[in-house]
Amino acid sequence: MQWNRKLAIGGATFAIAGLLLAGCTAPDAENGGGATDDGTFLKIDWLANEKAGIDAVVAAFQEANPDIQVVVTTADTAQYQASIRTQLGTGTAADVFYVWPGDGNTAAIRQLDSGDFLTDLSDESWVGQYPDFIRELVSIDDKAYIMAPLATAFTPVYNQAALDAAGLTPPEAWSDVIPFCEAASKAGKVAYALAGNNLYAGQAPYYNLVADLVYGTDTKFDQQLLDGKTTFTENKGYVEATEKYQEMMDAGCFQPNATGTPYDESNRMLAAGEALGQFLIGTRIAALQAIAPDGDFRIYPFHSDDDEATNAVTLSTQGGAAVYAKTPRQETAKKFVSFLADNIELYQAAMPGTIPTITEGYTPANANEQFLVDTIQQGHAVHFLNQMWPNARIESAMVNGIQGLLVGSASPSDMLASMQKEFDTE
Amino acid sequence: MTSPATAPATDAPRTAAPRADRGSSFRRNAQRTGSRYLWLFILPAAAFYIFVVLIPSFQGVFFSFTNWNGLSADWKFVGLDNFTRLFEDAVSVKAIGNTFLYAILSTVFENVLGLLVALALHSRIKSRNVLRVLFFMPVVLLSVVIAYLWQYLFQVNNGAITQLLHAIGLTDANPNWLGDPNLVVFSISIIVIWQFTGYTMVIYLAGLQGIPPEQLEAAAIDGAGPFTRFWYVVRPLLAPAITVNIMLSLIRGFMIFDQIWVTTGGGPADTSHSLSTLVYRTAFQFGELGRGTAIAVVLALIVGILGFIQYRGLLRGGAR
Repeated sequence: MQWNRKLAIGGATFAIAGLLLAGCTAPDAENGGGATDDGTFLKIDWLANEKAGIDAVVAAFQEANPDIQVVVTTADTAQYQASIRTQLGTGTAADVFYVWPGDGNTAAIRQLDSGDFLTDLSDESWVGQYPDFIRELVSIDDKAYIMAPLATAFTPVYNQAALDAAGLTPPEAWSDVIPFCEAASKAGKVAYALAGNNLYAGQAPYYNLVADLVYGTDTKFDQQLLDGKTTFTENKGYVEATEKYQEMMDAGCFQPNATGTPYDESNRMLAAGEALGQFLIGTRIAALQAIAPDGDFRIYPFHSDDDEATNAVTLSTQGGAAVYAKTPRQETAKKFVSFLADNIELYQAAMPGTIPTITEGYTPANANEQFLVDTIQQGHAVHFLNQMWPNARIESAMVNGIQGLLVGSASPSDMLASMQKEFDTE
Repeated sequence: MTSPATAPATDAPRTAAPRADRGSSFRRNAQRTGSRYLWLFILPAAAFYIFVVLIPSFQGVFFSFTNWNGLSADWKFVGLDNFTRLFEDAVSVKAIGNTFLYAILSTVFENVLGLLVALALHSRIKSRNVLRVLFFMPVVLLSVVIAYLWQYLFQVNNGAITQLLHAIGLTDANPNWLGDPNLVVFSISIIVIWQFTGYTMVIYLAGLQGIPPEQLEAAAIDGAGPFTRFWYVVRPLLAPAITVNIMLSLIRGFMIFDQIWVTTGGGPADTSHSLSTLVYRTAFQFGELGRGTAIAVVLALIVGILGFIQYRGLLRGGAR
């Protein structure tokens, strides 16, 4: 009897102790085992759609540093943004992890600033090589936090063969846009395929429309908005851009039932020549080339007014590597980030439709890359709109407002009012 | 003669004695088997449940009254603000309505179709085993995979369903299944119904196999037709299966997430959200954990209340 009692108490105690110990040791095991920086291990969390880039750099890093074991974990954007906050909150973040510049989403540096999670990388030599507007985006109060390897743009991408077959040239100014859509329609084509089933696809044309009308004439818009000196509903550029988007929809620039069209279908339409162009972020050109390897997909500038003096292109960096401030493996992490900066072209080569953020000494591989380099050098680059918005709800209101325009359930003024409401709500 | 005053005294040992005997018997039995200490063995599981389920749940309720963003140590109580915002915001109100619509549509159709299929496959048709497997197959597939599959089927222009409509002569038909705000909730419900009809079918089949054939034969001899036999013999005997199926379908319907998130992301224009997708978007995409948990608390309350009502119905139906 006594033996049974002892066995019961002992068994239960061991089980509870085992459970608690397992729970306590789990985060450390996840971080690779060691709690000190002995220069043998590095954990990286990265964005799935830039996996090709990070894999190329990690392979080179491991070749140069065979003693360091590097573990890379990737997730798609939504899952990544959700998990990275949990990891930071629980102290289990990777040594190097992907973050977004500026603001506007929950994994952007300004949203993560409250917890001292990011190591200040300002002293790294590559920070001084960034173009000014990129350095501003990756910094808070002049402290740089991101090694952002890529820059890309939201632009229309055209199927050159389809354009030639239809005998059309892409519009160079706003006054050419609606006639281009009408001419495409007469030729039995869709001017611009739109994957409106994807929430964020509709923002690509909008970013192009806003660039000239808001930032081409008034580069202080973001600060004025933050200071309460303007609103989305009062700003002439935003009002005009939204109304012009509606005008494009009404003129049949996009295919009918765009909200039921996923990217697979819009890409197919463009690759097959059923559509002449598609507004995209540059990184999506790779998907077009995957389904039509011989296709000639070219970026042409798009302008939402007829004034060359206001030409602007939404061109920025999507994000890049930050070092977790609380990891004991600071030196190994910084070593990798420096390696990434030194081998930025290795990363970029695996990501078509992009250019390196540090363009010094870089030779563009094709006309699309040349366009991106020229845009930066001419000072026409404008950050992605949401990178200066103080919360993620504004972007959500924008993309849902665009879908509302497409299905006829919202007007341009409704959409802007909704964005302003989310801006005003804490 | 026994005085009235002494009667209770003589009765008392008669009623108390068995209780004392029972108590000492339990004690003896517990001492003999060591079962007094067996409760220690449930401690690990209980500790796990407390740490993984109860404490986070109570923390969730606590944070639903705060503006916590999930990261910052700086948060404050906002009272009922998160809850009032839920009922003031047009998107949230639409999501609440959608959640009930998803639950009702999927519950009704999963059960009606599941029962019909079960009745058909309970007969002696030759290929019934193959058909049972085919109907059950969608249940074992991941919801995410099924949602991607249906996204292709529902695609405008070249989607299989649109092509099917064209093939049967409806050449101008091109419904915007996932992009029309008036259609999207029904389209997503079709996905859920297709996925889980096989699940309800299996439970109904099990119920049907438990019905004594003699009762059906007796009813047939008495002149009852197929519908009368179903209504007066089969339906009452299937009551426990019906209750279980309705409860499970309702809970599944209220918790719907994957099918919406993959096919529309809550769009077009925020018209297909359920409370679950709203929780995810608010808590993780907007980084508003406090408000997200408030929506989750409301969802949990709805599911809990309906589950309780169904459970009471189950008990009353004799499935104790």
